Amino acid sequence: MVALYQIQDLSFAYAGEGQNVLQEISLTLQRGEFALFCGPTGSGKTSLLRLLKKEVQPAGAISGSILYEGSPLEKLGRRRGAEEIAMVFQDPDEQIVMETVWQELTFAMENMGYETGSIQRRLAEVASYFGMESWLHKHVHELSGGQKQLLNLAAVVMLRPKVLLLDEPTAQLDPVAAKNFLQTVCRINQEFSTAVILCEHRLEELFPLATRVLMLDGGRVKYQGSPAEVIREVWRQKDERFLEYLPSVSRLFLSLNGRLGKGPGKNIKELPLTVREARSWLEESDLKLNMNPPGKRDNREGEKPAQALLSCREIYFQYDRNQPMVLKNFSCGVQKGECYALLGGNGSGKTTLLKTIAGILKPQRGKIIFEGKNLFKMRLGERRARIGYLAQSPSLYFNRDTVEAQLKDRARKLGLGASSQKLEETINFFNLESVMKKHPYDLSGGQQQKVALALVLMSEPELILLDEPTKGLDPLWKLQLAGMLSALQKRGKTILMVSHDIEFVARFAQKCALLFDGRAIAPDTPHNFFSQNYFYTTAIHRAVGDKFPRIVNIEDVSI
Amino acid sequence: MINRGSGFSSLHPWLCFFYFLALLLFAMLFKHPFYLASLLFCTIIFNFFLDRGESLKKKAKFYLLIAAIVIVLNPLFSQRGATILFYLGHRPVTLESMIYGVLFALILLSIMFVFLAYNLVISPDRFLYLFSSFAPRTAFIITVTLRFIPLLQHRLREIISVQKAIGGGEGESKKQKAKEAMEVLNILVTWSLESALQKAISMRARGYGSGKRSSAVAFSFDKRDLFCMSFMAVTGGLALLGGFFGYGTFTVYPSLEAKYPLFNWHFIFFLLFISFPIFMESREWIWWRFIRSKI
Repeated sequence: MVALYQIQDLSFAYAGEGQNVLQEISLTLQRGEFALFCGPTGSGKTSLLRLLKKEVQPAGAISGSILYEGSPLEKLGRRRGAEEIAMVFQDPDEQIVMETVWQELTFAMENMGYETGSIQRRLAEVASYFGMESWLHKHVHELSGGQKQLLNLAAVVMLRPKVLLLDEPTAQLDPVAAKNFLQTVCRINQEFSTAVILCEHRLEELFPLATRVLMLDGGRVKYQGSPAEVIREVWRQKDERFLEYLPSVSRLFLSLNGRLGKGPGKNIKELPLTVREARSWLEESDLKLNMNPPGKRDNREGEKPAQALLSCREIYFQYDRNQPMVLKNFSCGVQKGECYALLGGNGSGKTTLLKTIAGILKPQRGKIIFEGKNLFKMRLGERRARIGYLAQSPSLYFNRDTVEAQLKDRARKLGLGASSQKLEETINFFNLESVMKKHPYDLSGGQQQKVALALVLMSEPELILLDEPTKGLDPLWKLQLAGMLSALQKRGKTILMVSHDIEFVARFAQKCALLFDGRAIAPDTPHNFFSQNYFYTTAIHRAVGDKFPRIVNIEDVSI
Repeated sequence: MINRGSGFSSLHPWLCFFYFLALLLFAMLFKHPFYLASLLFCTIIFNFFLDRGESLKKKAKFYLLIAAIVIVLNPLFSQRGATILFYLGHRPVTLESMIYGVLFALILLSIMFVFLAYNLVISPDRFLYLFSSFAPRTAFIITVTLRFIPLLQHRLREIISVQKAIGGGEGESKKQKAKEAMEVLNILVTWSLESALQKAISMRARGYGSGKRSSAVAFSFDKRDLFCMSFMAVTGGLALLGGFFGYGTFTVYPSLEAKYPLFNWHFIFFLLFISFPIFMESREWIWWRFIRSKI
């Protein structure tokens, strides 16, 4: 049988750039495979994915060959190319063309000139397969992010493709919506044997689904094989750049050498990829997991509470009289110098809360006290100087042609002068020298976020509000972000972030609470918070929590 | 979005479209005050049936202001007419020009209310259907553009809120502030261009431009549509025909004069035509209010 894709010595350089982003990649993908491409930002995984579909290939120099079902991809007819190879992109909003859900679904078939009868039939089929009947006639802007991304998937599935290319499809979604999306992808893969090629940073749930994993670094294939093979190989080489990608339960298993208990020979070979497999491994064993002595972070647990910097008292907020309350009786207190994280799904009011504290929105009722002063009675200028707010999309902050001009403009507005010490300091702190001459829009998501954070921090705010700081970041960037945040804390800053990244919060916050039904539920240290939760907790705790209720992170285990 | 139910708005889009076209034509043709007043009354009731008057309430203030301006200004600027009421300085103010102002305001209001109802009944997807049969490309471009508007509004709000929060430049001059506003627009445009590019790729990926487009929509013309069409054709046709013979017309200048007495066969047909959607909607309303509640 002819392979779906046969890639031979593929190299690629973007037009106008000398350096190859892909180097001599060879790869064969069979029909019905579920392949996972991963690697740090800039490793070339998205470029590789885009090269697999003629209509979306980036401009540049390609060498080597890509065969699709035995014949060169560039010779594939336009119609066949559009029908058989489907692609879903990262941003749920940007790829939607039409106004209502059903129009979007029928868009592709209309382009192909199908007759009305068969479009209607497939519309009925696909809408019921995806369970979209109830929102079929809705306007696209009424949908949630997760629904939009499902719509994008359904819209390409309408053409009955043979292969689905997905470029970080869940980067912009919250965990529940992401899981829902990936499950649907998995269903399509299993029920119709549609091949899936997926680029992603969040791999915890994907390793068990994939038939093949490809890890790219610097444009080259670094690891390739079945999920278990790749995990073992990364572990064997102790590859710093990829360790963070591995599922945490597999890492736990490997760091304990798969032991079942004391004594040699009591090892098992099967590598656990899921919580279920890890639990059955632990149940067989009589292993004792010991807690590491509490790290630096937990030192604060015993300390008597520092001075409160911010306290929100009974805040009520709604956008419109006819709409439900977003914040209901919300109260919380943030201590000076801590990193407070509020968790919660999309639509739980996280962004609303930050905007209220930043002074963009005014609550109906309630008080916010900032260092003993009522926030709403503070002068606008003072509030802006003391509270910094970083929104979810960093691109909102950029209106200059280079990063340098952007930073200088900010310095000028703050009255610091264009070549002040502050500017130097900021550039050094965020390590921005290399990107100073670039256009902010040409930077990667992580870099953009860094520049935006630099802009916010130039006014030296005492409190920094971060909205979803880990969204769309790869694991290495997340570590960098954590480093930056703790450096800021050392400089006396207080951080309040909202996030749905459980693993990140569990590792790096000092206090967390769940934002639910407009209130902050169970404010506590991450340790207490996650060890008492059952559903809303880390994968490690779900795996080992029964036997070792205090273990939340892999760092908690002493090896 | 309105709930279409089984009322007027659920009729075949072409029927609705021609109905609105006829209403606009009538608003300009029949200047008799009673004709205009009943037309205005019907369009208001119709709007209330469609979305409980939500969009009407939102816009009413603005529309009434325009109407008031017309009523006040017309007698001030137009000195035509035989009956002089009084002098304002050296300008004569006539009864006729006052009446004309009121009539003109009635026409304007009716036209604007007809458009409100039109917007609710002929939603963008119906519009696309209507026009894709003879101008597919234009219809498509209009739909895509319509989708951009809420997107741009949302983005502008986001950008402004972020710029508001980041602060800086408090003591700047007006000129600087104007420059800043331009920068905000600059972000919006850059961002929109980026996303337009992404949208174009997404369209091409789904085979846009690979051949002749077809349409997924098929509104069937059923028996009820046929019945309603015959009713509207008879009443509307007679009303229009009468209009050519001078029924329902009204001359203001040089003096007020109606060619025919008000209560005649023509007014009845006119009323039947303009209140047709109200019949249909109230039939539905009565069904839900009285008949269903007994079951």
